[in-house]
Amino acid sequence: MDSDTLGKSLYKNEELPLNDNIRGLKAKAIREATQRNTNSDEILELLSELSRSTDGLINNELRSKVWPVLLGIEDKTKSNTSEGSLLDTNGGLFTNASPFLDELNCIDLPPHKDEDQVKLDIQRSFTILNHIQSLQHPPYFPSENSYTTIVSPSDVQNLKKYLSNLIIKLLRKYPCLNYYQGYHDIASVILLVCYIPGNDTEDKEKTENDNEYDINEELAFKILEKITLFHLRDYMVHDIALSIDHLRLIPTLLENLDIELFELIKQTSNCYVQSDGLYYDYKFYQGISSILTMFSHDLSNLTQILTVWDFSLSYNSVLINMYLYTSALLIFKNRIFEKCNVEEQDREDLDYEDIDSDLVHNAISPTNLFDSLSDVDLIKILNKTRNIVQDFPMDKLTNCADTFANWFSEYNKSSVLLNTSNLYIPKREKFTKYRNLIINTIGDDPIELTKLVDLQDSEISRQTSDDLAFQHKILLQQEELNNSIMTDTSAGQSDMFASDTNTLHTSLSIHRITSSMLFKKLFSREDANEDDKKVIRRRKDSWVSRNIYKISITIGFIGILVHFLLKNNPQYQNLLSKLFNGGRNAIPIGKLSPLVILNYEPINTITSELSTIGDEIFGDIGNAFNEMFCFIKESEMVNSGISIGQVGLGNLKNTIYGFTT
Amino acid sequence: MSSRKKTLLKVIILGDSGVGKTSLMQQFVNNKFSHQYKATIGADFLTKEIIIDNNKPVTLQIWDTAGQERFQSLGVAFYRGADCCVLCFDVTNEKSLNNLTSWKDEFLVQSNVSNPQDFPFIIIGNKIDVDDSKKIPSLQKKLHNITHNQLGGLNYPVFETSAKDSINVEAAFEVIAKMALQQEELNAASGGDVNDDYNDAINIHLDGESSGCGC
Ligand SMILES: Nc1nc2c(ncn2[C@@H]2O[C@H](COP(=O)(O)OP(=O)(O)O)[C@@H](O)[C@H]2O)c(=O)[nH]1
Ligand SMILES: [Mg+2]
Repeated sequence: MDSDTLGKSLYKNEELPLNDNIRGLKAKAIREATQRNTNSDEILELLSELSRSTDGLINNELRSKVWPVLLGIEDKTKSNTSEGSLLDTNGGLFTNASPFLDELNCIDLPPHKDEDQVKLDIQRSFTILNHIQSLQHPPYFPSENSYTTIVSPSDVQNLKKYLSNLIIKLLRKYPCLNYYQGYHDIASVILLVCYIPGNDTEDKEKTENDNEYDINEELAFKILEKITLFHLRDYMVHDIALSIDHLRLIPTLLENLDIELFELIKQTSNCYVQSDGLYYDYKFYQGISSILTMFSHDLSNLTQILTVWDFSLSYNSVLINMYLYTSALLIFKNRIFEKCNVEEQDREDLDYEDIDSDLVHNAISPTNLFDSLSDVDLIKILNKTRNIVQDFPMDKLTNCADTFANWFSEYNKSSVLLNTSNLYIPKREKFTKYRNLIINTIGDDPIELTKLVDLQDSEISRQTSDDLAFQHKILLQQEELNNSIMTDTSAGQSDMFASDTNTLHTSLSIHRITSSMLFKKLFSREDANEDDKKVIRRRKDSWVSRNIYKISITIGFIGILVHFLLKNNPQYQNLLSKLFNGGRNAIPIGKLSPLVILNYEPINTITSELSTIGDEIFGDIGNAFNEMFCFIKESEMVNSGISIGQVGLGNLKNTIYGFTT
Repeated sequence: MSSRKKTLLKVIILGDSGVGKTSLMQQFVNNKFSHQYKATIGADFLTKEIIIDNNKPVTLQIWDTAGQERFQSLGVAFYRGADCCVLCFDVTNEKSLNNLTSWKDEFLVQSNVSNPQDFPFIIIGNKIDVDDSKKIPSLQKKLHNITHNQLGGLNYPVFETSAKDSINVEAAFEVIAKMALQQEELNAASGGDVNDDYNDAINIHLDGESSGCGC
């Protein structure tokens, strides 16, 4: 049977796992394909199609052959003889005879800054293997998949050693990358696929020698290296904000695909609530563990993880993972609304203020979506993903200009999504164009990668500083809007306010003033009918909180400085003096001095003063930030744990506490 | 005023990676310990209903967070509305003890609580089951220095626990629940439902002692 038609006829839109017989046929088709010329586009496409159809690549032996093809991993031992198959039948990919094994401990290289964290996470790795025995039910685990029977406690200990070697070696080879929790999940999946089942397990347990343990470490490293540099790079730059940009694409897709789900997520989001509906930032933090680990952290069934990876790798882009998460949300839409206690008939005209945002958080989190996911549901999700990735390419999205194009094409031009992991350019083109990112000899300077990561860091920092300026603008809008509400609804409030404030102890912090009951007292004296009253009160309540918000954002920049001071690092103080005293864009300290009156002035005066100061400061803030960033780069603080990007909205908003303590 | 409604208390657990935050939460909520908990990425919560003060049922919503520094900025999304914050360290890891102050600062910076000066915190030193030889030398003295330091001291109740052997975990969470309840009542008084007792509310707020826990 021609394998092309096999792929198409048997696996498309099937909603059930394959039976043993068909699995056997499929395995045969895959094996045959790997024996043909994998350098041809035709075979690459065929293997991609087989990977993403029901049950993926069937078993780990096939995975260990096909994944390198999907990832475009070059076999150096054969690079000169481009004729013939990369994956030779005899010997397979990468022989164990290479000098590679000697480098394995890589003790000669300086340790990577994140190795302590790696150690902690290795201890908590391979938890997935506990589940395996219980999952051995036919027909999903036919006898050919003997890998899953390998795990004894001593095996797990051994695997952890390999895992540690694998990760540490990669980090030392590419020191510019930042390790994140979850990267260890990525590496452990790869390691399991590169496990070669031995014939004599009894023997192996007695052998203490690691080298006789059957894991193709060289292959594991190559796969990890390629996935890391080409696909996970955005998650390993210094600032986590770039990872968050990826996650923002999930609500972006939802906005095009399901407006009810989108509104639920949007209107209960922190940002939307805080800005009183003026602004939604699309930040979808809930999906982070799934996206950073390609779902391996959140699926509890190893076979499902591998099937998802077959699927995901076949697209050669991490963008597919955003589509996949979106599909899961769509498939489980009913369950999500149920969990949030919303009846089906109420969905269209929801009062989102009545919905508990923590329940929403839970409902759209991976635990709810993927824990104890059935095989049938997984197939549904993957099929849905196939469809939407076709029908809703990024550049065709109605909101593209404000979302994908803005975050990536405008700011993060060097993101993996636009080059090495771009879904929309031919695989082969990516493989060759960016091959220099990978260096051959461990210990060499990975110049290309370091430069690229540096560039990416500066791109994301520009985005962060622009975001900040934008938020300030939003706050001014809120201010205007609410001032008009205030004049409409409570004439004379400032008089009352002033007299009440006088009775307060002057040393009270600004925060206490704003959050005191005084406002409530003022606002509830309304002679409106009940309905109106509720609305008005709500508006006024939010006027209060918005003003706190406004003040703190306005002085947010100063807040950042306080934030750095809190961190108690002499380098930050350098930074501060640089900002205030030196440089073209230094901020005139004189403008800040009115801040010291914070504690003594009535709140409305403060508000207006601060907004004036704020306007002036924010005029320069973008430049100041850039300069600050350059300075940070110069002083190599980037690797010492400071991040401008980490000073997000909330930090700014609340660093006002710096003045109250 | 909130007695008719079910009281939901939001608790955030913070601390360095590996101190045992996930284990503590699991021990408290599910009464079990495993060496196999996954590393935490992002944040998630579990809930448990308990009875405090003999007859008051409350639901604790306990948020477990990632310890790695690069995930800290995500707190913005999760800390909002917290009623109590648990600062954890590992009694065998001095760095985790020294980091408590910055965890506290980070929380206040990101959480938008209404009373940063008297917001209820509690300190948990976990893993007391391990051999004394591995513990931080002169822990009590160091702890005392940290909790009684005049400048930004962490003058909060301290519990030493073992999530592994279930020592003191229940007791700690009972205090956490009580402190959280006070905070919640304070918030309810100054936020949400406005009733006619303005003056009372003002007093409660300005006195500021009401959320102190007498420890
Ligand atoms: N001996 C001992 N080990 C513990 C205890 N609590 C946690 N651990 C171990 O410490 C490691 C980290 O625990 P985990 O709960 O994941 O820490 P987290 O990163 O703070 O969530 C794991 O290996 C746990 O098994 C404890 O009370 N005693
Ligand atoms: Mg944890």
